[in-house]
Amino acid sequence: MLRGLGADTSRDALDALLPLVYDELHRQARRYLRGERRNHTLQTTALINEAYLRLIGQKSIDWRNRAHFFALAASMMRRILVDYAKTRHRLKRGGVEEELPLDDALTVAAEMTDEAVRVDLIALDGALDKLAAKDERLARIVELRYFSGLTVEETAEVLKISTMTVKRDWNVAKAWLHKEIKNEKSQKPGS
Amino acid sequence: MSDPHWEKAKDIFQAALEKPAGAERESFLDAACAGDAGLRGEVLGLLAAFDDAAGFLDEPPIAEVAETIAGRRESLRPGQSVGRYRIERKLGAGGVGEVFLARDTELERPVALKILAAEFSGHPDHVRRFLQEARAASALNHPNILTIYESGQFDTVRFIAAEYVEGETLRERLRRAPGINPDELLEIVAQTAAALGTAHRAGIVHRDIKPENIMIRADGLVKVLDFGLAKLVEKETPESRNIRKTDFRTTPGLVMGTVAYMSPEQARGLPADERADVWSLGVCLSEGVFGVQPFPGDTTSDQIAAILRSEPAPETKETRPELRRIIGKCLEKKAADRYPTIDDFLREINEFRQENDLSAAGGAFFPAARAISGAAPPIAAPPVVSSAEYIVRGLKKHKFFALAAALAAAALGLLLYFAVFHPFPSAAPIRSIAVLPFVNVGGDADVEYLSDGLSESLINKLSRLSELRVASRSSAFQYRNSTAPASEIARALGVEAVVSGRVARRGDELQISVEMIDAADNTQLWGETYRRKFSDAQTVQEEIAQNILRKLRLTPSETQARSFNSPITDNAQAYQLYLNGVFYRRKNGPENVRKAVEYQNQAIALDPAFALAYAELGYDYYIFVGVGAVDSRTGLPPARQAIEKALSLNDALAEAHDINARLKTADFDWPGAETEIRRAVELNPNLASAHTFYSELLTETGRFDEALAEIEKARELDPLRINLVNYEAEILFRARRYDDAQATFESGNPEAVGETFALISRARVAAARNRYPEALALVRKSLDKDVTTKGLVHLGRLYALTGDRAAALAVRERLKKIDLYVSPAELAILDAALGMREPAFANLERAFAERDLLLPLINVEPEYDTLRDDPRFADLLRRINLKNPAR
Repeated sequence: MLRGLGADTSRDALDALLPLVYDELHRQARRYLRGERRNHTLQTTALINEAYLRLIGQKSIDWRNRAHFFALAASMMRRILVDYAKTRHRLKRGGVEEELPLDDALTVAAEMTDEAVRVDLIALDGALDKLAAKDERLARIVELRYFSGLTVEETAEVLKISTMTVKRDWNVAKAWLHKEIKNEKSQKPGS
Repeated sequence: MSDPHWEKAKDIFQAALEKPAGAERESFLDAACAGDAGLRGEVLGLLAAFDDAAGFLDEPPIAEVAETIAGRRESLRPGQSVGRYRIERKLGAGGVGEVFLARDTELERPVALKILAAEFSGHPDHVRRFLQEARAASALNHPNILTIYESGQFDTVRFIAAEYVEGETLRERLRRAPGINPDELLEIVAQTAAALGTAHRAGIVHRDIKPENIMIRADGLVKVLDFGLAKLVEKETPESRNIRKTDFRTTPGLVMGTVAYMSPEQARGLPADERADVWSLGVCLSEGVFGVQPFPGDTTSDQIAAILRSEPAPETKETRPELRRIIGKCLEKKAADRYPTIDDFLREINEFRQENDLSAAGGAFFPAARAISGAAPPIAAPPVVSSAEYIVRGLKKHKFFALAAALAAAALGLLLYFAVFHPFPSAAPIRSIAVLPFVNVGGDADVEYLSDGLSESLINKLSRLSELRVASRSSAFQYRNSTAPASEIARALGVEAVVSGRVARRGDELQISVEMIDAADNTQLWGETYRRKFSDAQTVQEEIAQNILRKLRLTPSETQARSFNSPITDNAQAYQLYLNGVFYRRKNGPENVRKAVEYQNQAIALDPAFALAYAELGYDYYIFVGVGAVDSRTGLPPARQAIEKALSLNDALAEAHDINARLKTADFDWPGAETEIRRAVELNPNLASAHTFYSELLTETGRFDEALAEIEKARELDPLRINLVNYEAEILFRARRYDDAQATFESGNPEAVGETFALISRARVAAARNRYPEALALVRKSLDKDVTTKGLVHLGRLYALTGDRAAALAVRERLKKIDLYVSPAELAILDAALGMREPAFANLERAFAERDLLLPLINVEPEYDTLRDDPRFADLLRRINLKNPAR
């Protein structure tokens, strides 16, 4: 029954955590809708550092390198969030808009006015795939920074590159993705 | 990794970004691209896109899907049905679903109903896992294993119906008493081993035996939970929050799986068989016997290191060598050195019990456990824990098999993972709270004052923290014995968390279970069971308060911390007496208040430095005057004396300043009263009564807008005190805003505006609006409910105003003979309506002489308007330091 012992234990760990992630996302979503949304990132990354430092001191555990874990976590996060976006899309097209508590709906309405900063996660997902084909590292930086909420310094540490490079790549990636999404939209209006 | 052209474009792009847009950037680009038009075009395109992308990806991605995620839950509401199960209430929510307490309408029994969230019912993986869980658990049939009744689908809803069990976990049991009795412990361990034996014979290894998964019903029957699940890691459950205090210390807010009970092979990620369960149960046994975990560690990694390498922690207690040997054999690092099967372990345990006369065949502790059918009377209230909670946790982990190998990795994965995705408690701190009246479990009337008193002391104590908004007692106490979910109560009270408790007394022993629930998701933030001597109620109360403070991570200012930390009294008996006094004072009526005075005097006799008891005593005396049991000249001096004493003992006592303000108004010292009441509100911003009184004070001095604002504050603290609407309407009435007053009454809760005194106020408003028949009807309705002197005064006045002078005079005669204290200031209202100016002024003079508490109201009450032009009226106002407010 213990098949796949040789399989990637990190991925197993992540899979096992899936329900927790959904649970956590739900909490975060409600917090976000209540307007409490800043300040998570900083604190979490500080803890990642601490946790990791403790872990690498633990020789007897066969734990892969840190970049590997974060990369997996970030791409998993991306998948989940994009799935949610797809669900929403489907619901809207099917005419079954999710019912929101009134106060949440109002908050959302207020938050959603600025079209410029809205991100179409489905379009972003597609563009990110294209970016990965062009420049794998840029796509990974976006996953870590955007989907996992790591800081520039954290990202640099995980990918073992300089913060300068992260900053540069982040700027390039943002510009490239924005352009790509815009192009896609203008080619396929109404999608 | 990519072509040099692209690498170059990126570099140039970044460098160009650092140049100011315009000529400088242009010339830089010219130089950098050195005639490569393609490169230049690419960089320019990126630069333009970059400008266009301001704000892009700045918001967290959750912003985009938050409403989709948030809107997906709570699919079922109480009263709805899933097949034959009628939903009663939600017990909890997990990652992919929810658990409800439901009623099986066919078999008429409660069930824990677990529902797979709708958005996952289309995912084959989730459905498969969901069903697998049901299969694994239902394959096992044993009285010590939680029973799965049914799994199935109704419409699109997938569900599992399971036995609903109430009880306490071994974790709670271990925490509750200072050391569990060996007999009791071995009985629990033996029942657990029996359950595991059945499972092992069916080829199922539990892999996550720990005190949290061993539930003990009130009758002593053990239920092993989470069966057949390869337990990896868990969300922050009530237990995990409590047991992992050490983790909290080193990594605040970080949650991780319990590794303390994990076998070395699991920690190494190796296959684990039934001997892993032997190990884990051995850890439980060792912890129960010695009171500490055998492989402690401040962090997960330390714990793992101890499990892999260290000998069990040195034993802290003497115990029989034989039991020590049994534990040692469970905790052999090599599985081959342990008991080969759990049955071997159980046999030795039972032999040990027999040899030591520990009743292996009929324990004194669990008579009912063996005769399962016979429902034993509950020893004490089982803390509010249910099997459902464990099912909830089941929802949160879905790898059933093949994961033992990943256990260690997973524990660490969670560590990192939560670091990424778990916002800490401090990210959204709880800053408003309600303490519900503790439930007096036995219904023992003698304990009633204590269950109420504990909650009230907590409210009192927590209220001293200005960072925290605490729902006032009168609102919170409306939820006495409520079964509504915390989220609902919290919503009604406008708070983020709810504290509730249960108190049971057995002889001289007191058991108090307290829990704090996060209203956002109905999860327990903290829970603890205290078992103490009856006389130690006071120290338990202090402990609970401190624990809540810690859990909320509040950092009070130094002054507040001092106030918070100073115990109400050091004398346990005095505390009991004080609580009794408060209890009777709350009950109202002169007789009860007299009892209250006695209790406070006794409390003070035992603890002469008991400031709060003095403040209560002062309040009791003041109430005597307020309810007309005595007049001011008799009642106020002892009140004053008590308050002065209270303040000399503790000048930071908001309650004392509150009463002192009232006493100062009785002396017509308006600035003094205002200083005092402001001090009270400053010391305890949560004291709703102080805001109400402040509003009275402001009304009397004609500052109506400020008075309305204070009532609003009281209402925020006391959202369920429905009669505050009456206060508001009365202020509007005195401000001569009659139509607004009327509208306010009309908007009020029917029950509130139907109170005896509210009816009188409504009658007065109606009269002011010249609607006399309506006014008369209202005042009669009030008198039907209760004959009050105020009601009679206004009845007489209305007779006078409608020309029925004889009836008015008859009422006046009745008031003279009535066996109640009649406020002379109020009598003057009737006199004035009858045009009897001389008696009116005589009564007002008498009111002044008697220090009638209602006298200051002449400044603002419309009914005195016909007397205002008299110089004697102005003189009287001057003597009570008020002037007729200009209008």
